[in-house]
Amino acid sequence: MSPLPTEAATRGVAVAIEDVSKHFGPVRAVDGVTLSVRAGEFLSLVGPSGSGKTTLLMMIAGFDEPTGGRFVVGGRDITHVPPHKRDIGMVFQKYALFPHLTAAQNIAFPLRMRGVSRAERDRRARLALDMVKLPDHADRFPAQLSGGQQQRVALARALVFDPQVILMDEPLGALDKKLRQQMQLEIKELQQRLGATVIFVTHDQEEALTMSDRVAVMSEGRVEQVGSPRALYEGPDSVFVADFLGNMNFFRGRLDHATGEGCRISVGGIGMAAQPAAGAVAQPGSPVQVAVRPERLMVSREEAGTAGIPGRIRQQVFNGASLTVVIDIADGTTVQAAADARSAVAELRPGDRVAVGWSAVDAHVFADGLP
Amino acid sequence: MTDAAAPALRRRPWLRTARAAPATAAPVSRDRLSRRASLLLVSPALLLLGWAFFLPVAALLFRSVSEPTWTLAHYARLIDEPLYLRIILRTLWISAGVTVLALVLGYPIALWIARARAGVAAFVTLCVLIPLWTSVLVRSYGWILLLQRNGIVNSWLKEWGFIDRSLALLYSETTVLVAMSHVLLPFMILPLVSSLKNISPDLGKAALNLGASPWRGFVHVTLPLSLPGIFAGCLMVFVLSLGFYITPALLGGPRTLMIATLISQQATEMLNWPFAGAISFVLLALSLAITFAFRKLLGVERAAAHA
Ligand SMILES: Nc1ncnc2c1ncn2[C@@H]1O[C@H](COP(=O)(O)OP(=O)(O)OP(=O)(O)O)[C@@H](O)[C@H]1O
Ligand SMILES: [Mg+2]
Repeated sequence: MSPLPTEAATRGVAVAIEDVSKHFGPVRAVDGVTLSVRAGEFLSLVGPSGSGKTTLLMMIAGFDEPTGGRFVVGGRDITHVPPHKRDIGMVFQKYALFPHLTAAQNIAFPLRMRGVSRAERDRRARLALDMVKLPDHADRFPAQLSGGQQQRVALARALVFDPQVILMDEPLGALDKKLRQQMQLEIKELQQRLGATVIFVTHDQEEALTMSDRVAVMSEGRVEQVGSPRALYEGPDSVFVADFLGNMNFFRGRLDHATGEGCRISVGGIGMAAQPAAGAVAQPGSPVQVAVRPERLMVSREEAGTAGIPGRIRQQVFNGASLTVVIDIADGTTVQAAADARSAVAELRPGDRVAVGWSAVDAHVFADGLP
Repeated sequence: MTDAAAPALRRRPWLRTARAAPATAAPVSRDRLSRRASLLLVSPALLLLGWAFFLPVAALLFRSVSEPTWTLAHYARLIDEPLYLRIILRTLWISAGVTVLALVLGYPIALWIARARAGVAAFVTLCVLIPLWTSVLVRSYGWILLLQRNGIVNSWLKEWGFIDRSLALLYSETTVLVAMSHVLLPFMILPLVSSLKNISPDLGKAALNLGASPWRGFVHVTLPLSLPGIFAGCLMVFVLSLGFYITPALLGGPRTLMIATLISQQATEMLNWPFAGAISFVLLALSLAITFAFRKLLGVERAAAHA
């Protein structure tokens, strides 16, 4: 393994975002966000377009002043520190490499700005190039590098000066899928090796789930939920988060009664067991939505006495590792189930009658506020 | 792209992105005009140019070596007589001065236009363009009104008690320098704006983020990336200055003669057409030499096309 470019191996520090807002006239781009990122943590910000991710990142980097709130990085309040004195690395979506400088000069730029001697700059730039696996590309100009190579140079440039925090705004957005996955692994590996604190913005929720220690889901300038990928995926607090991360089926039903742990609901007159999502309280008799992941949905051929919600197969889609069946259920909703391509589900044909069910732990009940 | 630009490109391959873009953007198969059709389309302009420009220039140059007999005497005279050499040198240094002054004055304005919000940028651009649409004659007379013996500047200075007697502000090299810079400023600003606008705002942010103060970010990133615009603007202003006639003629007076004025004098007052031809040739040669030198320095052609 190549040596680290850093003199201190672990320099990531904790970041506290305290009740930060940014208003553009009437638009509340960021609306009272509070988040704490631990030292050495990889935190992703995900959310639909316009939810304020970039705005938040730009404020952390210092390109925008918050309307309210403050940022504390490594114990220092940096809310009013100008960007060039923040010691925060950033990887831009379009790389933002300096086109008139070679890869090595780009990487040496932050060191040069810090008055590091030429020899030392060269040495550290070379180490950083090794680190991102581009040892032979030192003298290439950005225009002579492929997209993936440019991305690596941008990464090396953001890492080489040992910043306290590294911000990335959709750094892989411009790469094709294969390269993206490869870069995801490489970034993750580097981050762990260096112990860097990373705040990573992405559109791609799958990317967020695979790379992050924790994920913050944003919506309309607010943080909806923060937690480990697993906690978010398996225990969404709201319909929004349930819907946003991964694929999710929603059933409309009615709450029959709730006990301490689980609850009973009825969907189209069929009684089912489920569990109420955290923070979601509903009165017995009130309408609810039940969220179940496609891979948690159990589908069986409907025979006399089969428990479950009746439905009819509409379509069956083979997608390599798994199989997706699209099912119309009685009340007109359509749900999807993912199954092993060699399971009994594969035998089902469009038009077949089926029964759909789930284990109580996999079904999250939310109060149905929607009309 | 011409061969002349190629060495510059080899040294600065980062220019290639800008250069390659239009070529890749237009697919080769898009209906190219046939050779004959293109010829037909450009022929009116070619005819006019040939008849009204190349022909007279060629005739003038021909006369400079053929009258009264085949001779280089007119050229020898230019070099031998210190007066003429001085005029040529003065023209060169005034042009250089105008170029530098226009660059120094124009760069901040160009930067402002490139960075300002759309409305502000449009307004400032308009302010730059309006003088361009005003006749050079009018603008030069404007300077006369300002600077003459009982002009605005002198009367103000007197009123405020700074001076007792009017200063001779007109008819000096400095006056010519300042007035020409004013007149030619738009030719500096426009190419600068276009090259500054081509620089992604992300680069400025990246520089700040990497620890460069705003000033160092400018010096290390914005300035080098705007070099094509600087070269294009300087070339344009310098070459225009070399042959500039109206402003030096009006504001320079007889002691600040420049080449163009000299040519006009020789042709219309002295009726010495061969000598006027010889001076014209020197002017033409200077302009071309400067242009090629600039192009060698950096592929400017491209940046000029962008403008
Ligand atoms: N300079 C600005 N002036 C006015 N409104 C702005 C400005 N910048 C952002 N906004 C608004 O703030 C909101 C949040 O924008 P932001 O760019 O942070 O979203 P995002 O989550 O990064 O979206 P995306 O995923 O599309 O990049 C949007 O509604 C946007 O229109
Ligand atoms: Mg964004």
